[in-house]
Amino acid sequence: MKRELLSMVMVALLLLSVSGSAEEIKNPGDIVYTFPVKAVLFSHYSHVKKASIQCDTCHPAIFKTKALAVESYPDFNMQALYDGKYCGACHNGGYAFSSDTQCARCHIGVKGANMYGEEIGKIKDMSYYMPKNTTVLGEGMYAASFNHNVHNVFECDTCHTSIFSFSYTPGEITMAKISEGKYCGECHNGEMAFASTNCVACHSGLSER
Amino acid sequence: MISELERREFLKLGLAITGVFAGGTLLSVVSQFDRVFASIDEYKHNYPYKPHYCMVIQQDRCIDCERCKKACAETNHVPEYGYRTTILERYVPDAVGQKREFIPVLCMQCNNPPCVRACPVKATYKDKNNGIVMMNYDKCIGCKTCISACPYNARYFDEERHAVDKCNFCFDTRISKGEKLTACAAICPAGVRIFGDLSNPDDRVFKIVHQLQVPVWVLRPEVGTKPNVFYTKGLKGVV
Repeated sequence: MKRELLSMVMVALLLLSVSGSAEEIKNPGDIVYTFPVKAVLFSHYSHVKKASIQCDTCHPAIFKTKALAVESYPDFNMQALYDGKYCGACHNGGYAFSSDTQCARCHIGVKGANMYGEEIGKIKDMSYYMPKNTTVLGEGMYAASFNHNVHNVFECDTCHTSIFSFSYTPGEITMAKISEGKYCGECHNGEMAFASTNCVACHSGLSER
Repeated sequence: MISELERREFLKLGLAITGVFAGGTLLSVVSQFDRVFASIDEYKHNYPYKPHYCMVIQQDRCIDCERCKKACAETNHVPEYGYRTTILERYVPDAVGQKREFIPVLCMQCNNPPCVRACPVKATYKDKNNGIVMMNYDKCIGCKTCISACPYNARYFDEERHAVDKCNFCFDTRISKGEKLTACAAICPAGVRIFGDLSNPDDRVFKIVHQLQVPVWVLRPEVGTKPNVFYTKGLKGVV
């Protein structure tokens, strides 16, 4: 009996360890800047998951939604940060640790950059931060579903924030506007994606809820 | 910075305090302390070299961009497999906030250099004028004894030259040609490396090494090499 119990525990532990390692996503959405110095790490995980900051706190007012876009700005340097721009908007010693302290907290250097290897310049696994299930916009008969997972072949800046802001205002999106080629209609025009006349593709089954 | 004699005096003092004054007041310790330390004025006339080249490294400002390594290699023709200066990384996973720090290292231009003592043919020597530990590549027989003698791993064997090579504060490539800074100090975007003359009281390095507000230390003091490369943190606004 004792031996059986022991083996059961062992098997359980083994399963736990296997499933644990398989599901682990390590720091999804990391961005490694290599300009003007090599290299600086921005962690979406620390900001979104640990500090619970919403997307629209930074995007697009402080940073464009396109990863690394800020590298092309000539004033993307420490002085700009001290003047309250970019990271310095929060990292001023008030909201977050001041940008003139703890240099190597963000600066991971050449050694850090080498650890990221070919992943530098690519932002991966942002879907980790998106709603996992279908998002329902609107209520009752107007309700429509949207699934980020179906759309995550695109970069964030394909839709945000030129087509959609990060927050949804009820009544903002109407079928009339979509037929005019706005909102979903930008792509769902029958050419790039299925036409917006295909009602049930988004409005199906929601009345049962 | 403390001479061997002073160190001994200081240690003797410590023993005297525990032996005789155990249970005595702290005041008595302080007053004894005052008597032992020499004044700064005394030091500045006693630097053995003129100029006495040295470097202060602001360790908390290094971001491992490695522009210093690149500039050094280009200036001094350092091959891929070797280095005259490099950046060490220290990772402290359970530290609060910043968990990683970068430590630039180079030849410490020791006042008591183990490499010079180890060299069987006097190919490496302490320059009599400026205190830089120099290499005479023609004399070097490539025995590599100096490499193993160096406590700072600051030397490498240059295959092409068939001689050991090391940092000489860019003496042949820059300083002797009138440049004020070494290649690494000149390129550093964060002002980590402060190069100067320790025998000049107007020089920033003199002021840093002789102030008492922020700590200044050397690497591996226990090996008794008396380095001329100093490390500090939190210097901003002090000197």
